[in-house]
This record gives sequence, C-alpha cells and structure tokens, in this order.
Amino acid sequence: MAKDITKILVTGPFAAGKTTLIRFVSSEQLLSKDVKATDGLARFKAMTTVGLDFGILHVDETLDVHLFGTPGQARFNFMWKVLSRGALGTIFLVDSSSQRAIDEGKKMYQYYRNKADTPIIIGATHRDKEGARDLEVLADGLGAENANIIPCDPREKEDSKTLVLALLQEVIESDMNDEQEELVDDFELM
Amino acid sequence: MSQDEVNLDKKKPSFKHLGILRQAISKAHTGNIRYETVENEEIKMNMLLGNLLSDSMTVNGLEKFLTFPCMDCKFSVECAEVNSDDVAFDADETLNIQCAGEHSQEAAPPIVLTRVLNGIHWEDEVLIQLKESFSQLPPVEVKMVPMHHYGYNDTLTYLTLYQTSLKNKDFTLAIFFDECPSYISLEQQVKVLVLGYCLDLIKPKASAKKVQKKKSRRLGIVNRILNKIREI
Ligand SMILES: Nc1nc2c(ncn2[C@@H]2O[C@H](COP(=O)(O)OP(=O)(O)OP(=O)(O)O)[C@@H](O)[C@H]2O)c(=O)[nH]1
Ligand SMILES: [Mg+2]
Repeated sequence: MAKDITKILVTGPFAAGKTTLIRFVSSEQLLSKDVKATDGLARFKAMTTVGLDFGILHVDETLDVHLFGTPGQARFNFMWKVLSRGALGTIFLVDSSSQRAIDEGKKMYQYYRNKADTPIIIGATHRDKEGARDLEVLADGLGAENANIIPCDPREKEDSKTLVLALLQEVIESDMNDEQEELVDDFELM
Repeated sequence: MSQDEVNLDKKKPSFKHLGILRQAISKAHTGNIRYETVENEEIKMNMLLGNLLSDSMTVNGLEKFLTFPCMDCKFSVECAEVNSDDVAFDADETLNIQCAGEHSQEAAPPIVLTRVLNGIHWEDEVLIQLKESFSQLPPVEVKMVPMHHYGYNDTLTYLTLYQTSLKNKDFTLAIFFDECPSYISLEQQVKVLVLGYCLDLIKPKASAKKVQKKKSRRLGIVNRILNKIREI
C-alpha cells in the first residue's frame, strides 16, 4: 500500500533549538550540521546543500512525517512558501533570552504569517537563562499576540514532544473551523 | 476475488503513475519516485521540495515515465542513490529557481518536467490510451498560468484548453478533445493535458462531499501522529 507523507516545519531564528527538537522526534534524520551521523539518508545530500534539517518519523506502515528545520536566517525566508505546501503546520522556536533572536524572530514570524496559512505554535526556549522574557513580553516582541506560546527546553525530550502534540492539537482545531480543501484521490488515469 | 487476482489487476500497465508525480509536485515532497516499466526495469527519479532534479538518472527516467505506461510506481525516501555532485549542483539550481519564483509569488517553475515533455513523442496506441484515460476523468477546472515562465513551448494549446474550460459549465477533458480545432494535433492536445494534470493545473471540480471526506481522513492522520508521538 502506498505511504502517506505529511510534513511538519520547524523554524525560528538562530540557535533556538530547531535541530535539537527534530532529533528527538525523528526515527531517522539528516541534520545539516551533522551529516556523518546518518546512514541511509546520508546519500540524499541535497538537503544539507540547501541547509535544511530533515528528519523522518515513521508513524506506521502507511504513514511517514517529514520534519523540516529551516535555517534560522532571513535569506531562507523564500523557502517557506514551498515548504508549507502539504504541511500540517509549523513549530516556531525562539530563544526568549536573546533580544537579537526576538527581533529577528519578529521579521520571520510576520513574513511567515503572510506567506503560509498553516497552523503555527510558538515554543519559547532558553527559559533557564538569565534575562528570559516573560511570555507576554515575548508575544509582544514577536508581534504574535494571538498565537499560543509554550515555554519549553527542546533538550528535554518530553518538552520537544509537547510542542509537536500542541501543534497537532492546533491543526485539529483549525480544521474544525475552516474548510480544508485538498486533492481528491479519485482523479486517476487508467 | 482472491488476493492473487487483486495483485494481477494492480499490475496492469497504466498511466496511474502520473498521479504519483502530480501528488509529489503539488505537496512539494522530498525523496524519490520509483517505478517499474513493462520490461520490469526499476527506475528512480529524485525530487527536492516538489522539484524534479536535473541529474541524468532523473531526466532519463522522466522521459520513459512520460512516454510509456508503467506497472507500478511509488514515492519513498529510502533509496536515494544520488551522485552527490549532481545533487549539490542541482540543489543550488533549485534554490535559484525558488528565488526567482518568489518574485512572481508562484512556486518554482517545473523546468525539468517541461523540458523533457517538450521532446516527448508517443506511439499512436499510447496516444489513444492517454486520450481515453483523460476523457474518463470527472469534470475539471483549469487554472491559467503564465506558461512562458515554465519553458513550455506550446502556449497556444494550453490557452485553447483554458478557453474551452471557461466556455463549458461542466467541463470535461472529453469535451476538450471534441472541441479542439483540427490544426492542433492529438499529440499536442494530450501533451498539454499531461502537463496540466501533473502540475495540478487541471483539477477535479470539488464537490462538497469529497472535501468533507478528505477532512476526516486528515483528522485520522493527525490522530495517528498524536498517538505515535505520545509513545516515543
Ligand atoms: N540552556 C538552553 N540551551 C538550549 C535550549 N534549547 C536549545 N539549547 C541549546 O542551544 C544550542 C542550539 O540548539 P540547536 O538545536 O542547534 O538550535 P538551532 O535552532 O538548530 O540553531 P541553528 O540551526 O543554528 O539556527 C544547542 O547547544 C542546544 O543544546 C534551552 O531551552 N536552554
Ligand atoms: Mg540547526
């Protein structure tokens, strides 16, 4: 039977914890900084050339989730539109102790909101550090007053899992609201 | 019906594989399309974010993929045997195309597909099979795009398809074949349909019922992922 593939995007400014999160929730991965550590997938070098983290979660025999971590640089903004095609939603991570990261994150977040209309959840990382912003301050700093923000440390597996679960919950809720139109399957040639 | 009969039936050569390409492009998948020719040859094509790469394996594979019916076809990521030099070059190219695409607010033009399709030639019997296959599709909508950005060299036929679709209320591709002026050859007609079908420019008219069905399927997928994440 053919496998379904769906995508989850993980994005946000530099050093937010994207690579760390993808490592925890993937069954196999090809990480941009870490090509050697992979086996079968290492041959698919294209991902590292474009600077993406790429992980696969094998859900069951007939379903894979592809996790894409986009590089935390504004020059990759243009990729979001194509990445978000066929994606369930996006986990947006930001180092909440760094004003530079928050400023950069604001640009990314606004850009993202304009380009892709898939559900998004924000993970506020580096909470253990001095100067970590309150969540309201962070929301304000990102211009994301209406988004759900979850404090987390991606180095903790349970926290990484929680972010994915929260995103999926968000997907379910947004599906309840709007008409999701997708490809109809019985459009096959003989 | 026994299991064997089901499998035999599935193994009939057809153009169903074009549907796999269509899904992979429209969902911007990354990985490989693998298919089996009628001669039982297994062929792989590489894809990055819905763009076919231009390594020679992919380009040669695509030519056969578009020209002949196939036995079987699937999408996967397990078996990416790619010459990394090819891919490094290609990923850069893909990036550049993506940048160009950004300005027009469109996805990257599918240049590998159009380049190969421009040069395809079908035997008469295959052409008839494709015609019949397209004719039996349910009513469709056709999307207009600036075809010249795509590097496709038969803009006129695409425009004819588009205009015919506007004029007919329940437009089917059978109507297109009937109404197409005779100075456009059957091969030109079919080619433009292959292009439009693979790029999802020709879409089934969505009936409310089908969209609903799709929604609950999606919910099922999300719930399976939820359960998996909980247990890892
Ligand atoms: N103290 C602390 N360190 C964290 C936290 N989250 C991630 N880190 C660390 O921050 C560093 C960067 O994490 P990565 O996962 O590589 O971040 P990234 O978002 O992939 O970074 P780029 O790919 O460079 O954009 C690593 O050393 C992580 O262990 C956190 O919540 N608290
Ligand atoms: Mg990283």
